[in-house]
Amino acid sequence: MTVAAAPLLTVRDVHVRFAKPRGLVDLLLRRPASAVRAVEGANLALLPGETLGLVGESGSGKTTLGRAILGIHRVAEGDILYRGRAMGDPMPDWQQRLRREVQMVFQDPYSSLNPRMTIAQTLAEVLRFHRVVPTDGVDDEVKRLLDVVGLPQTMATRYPRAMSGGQRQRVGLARALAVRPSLLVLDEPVAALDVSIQAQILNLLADLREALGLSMLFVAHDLSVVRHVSDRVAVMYRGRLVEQGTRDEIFTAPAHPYTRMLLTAVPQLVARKRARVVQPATEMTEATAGGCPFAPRCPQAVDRCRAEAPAEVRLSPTHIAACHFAGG
Amino acid sequence: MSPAADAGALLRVEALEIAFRVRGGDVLATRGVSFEVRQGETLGLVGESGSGKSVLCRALLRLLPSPPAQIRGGRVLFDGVDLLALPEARMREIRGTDIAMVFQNPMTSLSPVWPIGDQVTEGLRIHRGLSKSAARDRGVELLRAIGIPDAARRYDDHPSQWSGGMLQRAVIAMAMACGPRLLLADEPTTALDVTIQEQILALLADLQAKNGMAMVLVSHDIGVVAETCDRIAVMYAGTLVETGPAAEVLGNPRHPYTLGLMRSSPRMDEHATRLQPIPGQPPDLARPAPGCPFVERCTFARDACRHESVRLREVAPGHASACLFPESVV
Repeated sequence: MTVAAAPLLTVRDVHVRFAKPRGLVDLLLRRPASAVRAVEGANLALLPGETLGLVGESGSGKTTLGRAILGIHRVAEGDILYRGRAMGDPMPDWQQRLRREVQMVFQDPYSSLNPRMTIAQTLAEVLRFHRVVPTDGVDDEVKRLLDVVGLPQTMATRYPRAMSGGQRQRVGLARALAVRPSLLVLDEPVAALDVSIQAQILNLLADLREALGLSMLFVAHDLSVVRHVSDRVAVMYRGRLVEQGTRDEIFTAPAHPYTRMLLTAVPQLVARKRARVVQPATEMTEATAGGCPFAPRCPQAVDRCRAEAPAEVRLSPTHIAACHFAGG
Repeated sequence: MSPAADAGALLRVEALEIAFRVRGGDVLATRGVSFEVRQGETLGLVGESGSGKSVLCRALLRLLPSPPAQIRGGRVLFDGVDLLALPEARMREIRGTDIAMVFQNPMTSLSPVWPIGDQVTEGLRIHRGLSKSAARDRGVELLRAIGIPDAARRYDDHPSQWSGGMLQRAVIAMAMACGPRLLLADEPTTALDVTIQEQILALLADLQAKNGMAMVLVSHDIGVVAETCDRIAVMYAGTLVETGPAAEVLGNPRHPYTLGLMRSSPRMDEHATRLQPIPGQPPDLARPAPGCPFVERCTFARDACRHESVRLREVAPGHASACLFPESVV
């Protein structure tokens, strides 16, 4: 990269917190409300036309961060900028514009589609509301959208319940694409699909990205899927981004011990009954306050890791890892 | 199948046919499924949703509710005894002692309101007649064996106090309590993160090596099966389409569906810009067509595939394919 393009999306030191529910006893004893820190100090940038994979295990905060970007969760601290302007800026025309430019695709399209509307009705509603095309052009646009996502025209009159998971995910994509967005946030879009159908959707995403120049934030737990779709990858653990880099940097030269642990755990498609070491159960141990969040599980942890949170170490212009031992 | 192989078979399933009675007719969930599992061996049963792998597993233990499920034919021989012909009382003894099962969601097998340790040892008290204190001692040992730190204290914990990975360990301990000779594991790691999945697979392999137990591991993830199993059986639309040693089946697949599954999986070791998905959708099991069930999605299909019936035939020693033209699969 010679001249860095202006990022489409910038996430700057973002924190998201959820209030823990207080029980009656807490209320009576006047205990203060405590918060779960779901995302702590996230920094990300997404360039136009780029796909950034956001990976992590359950509870890592990857979905929360994706939703914070869409404004579904309130940001407690920090800024999320779209084309350099705060996404939280309440000006109505800005919010309206964001709703067209930034779209979301969910894991389970079934729960995000109206069961009482046909596919054509669902798509037409979006087109009319956002006035994407003139009223007399809506029917043609619906047909075009079905084509774009590879659904036969006969699907237009179907209800979501009469479709397979893969077909519904295509509808979810068609609806997101209806408003001609620039940025798609995809939250585990293929996690619920069988591998043969998953491959169809991944290829479709690659085609759409190529044809429409879309930027994508691809949130997923499956590393082989993320490796397949992403230009760059960010790894989250316990609410923190622990490593970021290009696809090759993350997959061939991972610098954070957590990334390495994730990578070696992925089953490979080669018949090899591996000798594995039986380890004790991983408990949901809290990291010591102020220390590295990964220290309780880290095979390399030393006293310093439990006492002092690691700063981000820059290993290359594109590669950052938050570990005391990264690069050294 | 050679007679020598038969001699070592702990579980032998012969031409099992399971149907579900639903509105508008019958759905054939499995058709003519035959396979065997030898002592100490791990068989991986792979297939996509709806292929019939879980139904098959449950049918072996007679856990399918009838109606709607109906076993139309076939035998399930465990140590030479046909489980399908046993009285329910005898079957109940076998479940949990000789054959145990682990499900995808540990809470399928756990009560939220009982101490975990008591649940793990319930089988020992019922089937082995252990006293409460003897069961507790054995239970603490079991929890220790599955890697629960501070097992004696954690024995009295309730499921809500444990993580998903720990609960799956507890369910495995429960399954192992009476020393089963066969473990049926239905997607035991599907709900878990990869790092925890690796721990659970390691634990299963270790317990198996120590006890000489046989295992059927059901998974949609061909990678999981590749790394844990001696032999693989690939299931599609209620039939077994390919069986054989894991290295053989994955290194030299002889059924287009197996090849398709492998080619549609994104890989960690090489980068392809495009995946090769299997076109189309699985067939409707309520309306079985003659010929090969995979024909509509197969890129190698010929005319004969539409009407000739298919069955597993040996393509190499121990390696069988249900493809009419296995040599054309490349």
